Amino acid sequence: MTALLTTFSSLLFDNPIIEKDALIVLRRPRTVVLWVLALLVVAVGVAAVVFEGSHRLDSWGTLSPVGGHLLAITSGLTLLAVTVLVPAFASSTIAGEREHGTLPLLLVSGLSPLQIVIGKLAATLLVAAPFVALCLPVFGVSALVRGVDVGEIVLAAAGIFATTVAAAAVGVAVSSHLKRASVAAPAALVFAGIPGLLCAAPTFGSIISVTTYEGSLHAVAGAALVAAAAITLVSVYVAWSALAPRLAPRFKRATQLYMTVTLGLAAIIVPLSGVAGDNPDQQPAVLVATGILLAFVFHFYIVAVACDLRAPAAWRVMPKALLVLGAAGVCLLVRFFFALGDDSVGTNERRILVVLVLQVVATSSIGAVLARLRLQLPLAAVGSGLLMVGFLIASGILIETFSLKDALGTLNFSFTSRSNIVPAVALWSGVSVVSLALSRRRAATG
Amino acid sequence: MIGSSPSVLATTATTTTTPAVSVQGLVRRYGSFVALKGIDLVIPRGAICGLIGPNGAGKTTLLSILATLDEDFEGAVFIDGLDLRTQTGLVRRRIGFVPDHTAIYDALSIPEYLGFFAAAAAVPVDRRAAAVADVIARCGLQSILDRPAGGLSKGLTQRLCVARALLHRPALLLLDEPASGLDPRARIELKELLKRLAKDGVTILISSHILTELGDFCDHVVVLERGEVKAADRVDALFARAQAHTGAARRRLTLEIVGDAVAAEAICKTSAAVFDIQRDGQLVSVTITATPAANAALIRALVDGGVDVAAAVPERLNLEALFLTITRGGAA
Repeated sequence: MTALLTTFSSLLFDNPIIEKDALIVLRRPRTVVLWVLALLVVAVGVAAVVFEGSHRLDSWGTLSPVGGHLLAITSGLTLLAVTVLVPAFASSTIAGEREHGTLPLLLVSGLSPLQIVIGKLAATLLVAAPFVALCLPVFGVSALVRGVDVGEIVLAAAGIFATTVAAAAVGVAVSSHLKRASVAAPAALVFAGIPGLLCAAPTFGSIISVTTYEGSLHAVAGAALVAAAAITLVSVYVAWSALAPRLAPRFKRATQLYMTVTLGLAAIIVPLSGVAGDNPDQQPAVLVATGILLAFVFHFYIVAVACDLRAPAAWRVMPKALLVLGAAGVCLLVRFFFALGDDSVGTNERRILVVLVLQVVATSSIGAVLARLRLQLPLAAVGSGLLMVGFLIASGILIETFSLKDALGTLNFSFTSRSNIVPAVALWSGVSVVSLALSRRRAATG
Repeated sequence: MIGSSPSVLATTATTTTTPAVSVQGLVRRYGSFVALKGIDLVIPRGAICGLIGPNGAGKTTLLSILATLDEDFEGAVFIDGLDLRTQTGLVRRRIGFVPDHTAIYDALSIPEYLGFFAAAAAVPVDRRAAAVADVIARCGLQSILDRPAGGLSKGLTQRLCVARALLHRPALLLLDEPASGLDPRARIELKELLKRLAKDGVTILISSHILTELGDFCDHVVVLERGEVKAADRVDALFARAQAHTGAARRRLTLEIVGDAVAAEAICKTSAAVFDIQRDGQLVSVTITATPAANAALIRALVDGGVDVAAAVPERLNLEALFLTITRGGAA
């Protein structure tokens, strides 16, 4: 028992990492910028609700709906801020130490890997504390103006707290895995932002369907909190094992599993979030938007991994990516299942998704080649991202009736005949094969 | 090979004590590339051991392993008798490590930087301030305490890094190319600092490619080449073996004469141990049998002949020459 208390104390109360990092981050101007940004996000939401509330007061002579809206909007915006800013901050923690050459000194000095990870997590939460603290007064006001009960407020606060911890933990885990802070920041957004939404979506209605969720709030909130706790624990394990050399083989497996599961969950939650929508006309749009989002996520994943981890050969990254894509494909099928009763989802959408998946593979392959050329990640990511956008347009040209304007406006894609999809499929398959061949050759020579 | 296998530096006097470092059959592979090829090595306590070798010889790899930063090796490594693989935590309490790059936190002041690492090294709270003050004094950092760690010159930064490594009073100090990039003054200051530490009983293992500087204060040397130990022994023993191997039974001795240098030259010519004489003003340089007795006999003859000798300086044993001899395989 005493040993347990000593260990606990060394992790939280006598952990020099926390004090050191607090000193450093509080001296950084960007910390203040982060806080101001969070304040602005919440303030804008509150202002919008107040404006809407005053409008309703004029119309209906009552304040009752305002409390619920205030809670939902503040929670949603805070979660958005948390899932974007906290991982971005956390991503520089361990990768930054590694980049500056101080990580070996921390290890040699006698700090345990777990102390380092918990210290980094605590320091990140210290910076993130104002994000959560900002909500509490607004929540208090929402309780005062009716339209929401105390249980919902407690759930909201717990959800934000759990999401913040989970986002920070995933950010630290990603940071522990990568070699450069500049790479870790966007990678953390991919890995932490989506799990953050995973928690946010069912708890409060996602940003997508905040006003349309139907079902037991308490049940899904409980599930989300459990998910957040699980993500936090897994992330701490991944980060810890990254710093303990003897765990390296297990770490590699755990990381691969973690990344796959995380992206798989992301692939599940994003399509399902559209299910909550109650407007059948939105179904095709949500479906295609989901496909495009997934395409960019997977594309970035491959580029980030290939570029920073210096995979022995970029083509070795592909199986992992394809595994994830397979999970995404299953999820999309589930999504189709939900949409079967909807006449608006038909052959066109399925064809679009086929092309999108092939585009992912193709552009990711090119991204891998760019990475093998030892380009810096931002250049490789932007370059291949631009290629991807270009390919989207090229798809439109290949498919006669595709209208970019329509795609951006109403997402009203149309594949009029089977013959139109064949060139697109052939193109992306060809690009994939050539890129992978080039990548492999490059790996063999370099 | 000089210091033929096993590459044992321990002298007879120290073999009864636990060595500071004991390495047995150390192999480190990076894929198909073998960076260390079955190294055997023993470094006695209190030694100042130079680790020399060309680029890519495996110096940094060896130091990383000894610093507990790389566990992916084959073989056994013991620090102060502790198994590095299974007693990593205890080993870390006994070593101080200065890597080949300056690793500091720009935003922290020097006392904050040292205070953090004192806490990290689990120096008790009530002793931390004293520990920080102690290393500041030992490393001569008193005059720059108000400056941020990120604004120091390279020389001062290196001293700060050494100070950090000393906070927990390690028994073994590992330094990877500490003099790299330092100006002459900073090098001299660093060298003096390390000499003081050695006097305090700290075992020092220092890698460097600036051999002349290592030769000034190292008493032991390990020569690594392509992942193999080419030589490992006391510096003087290595020189003796190298001289024996190359037939270098003679050495240069420079005499500073007070008074009649011509008479001194004449006296030197009468010595059977002297083979070559050159005179330059008051300096008489002779090639003489490389034994202390021959030196003493010559000086005694000069004094007996009425010539005062202000100084007798034997030619400095040259580590660079020794290194070249060893790595060329001439003495292997």
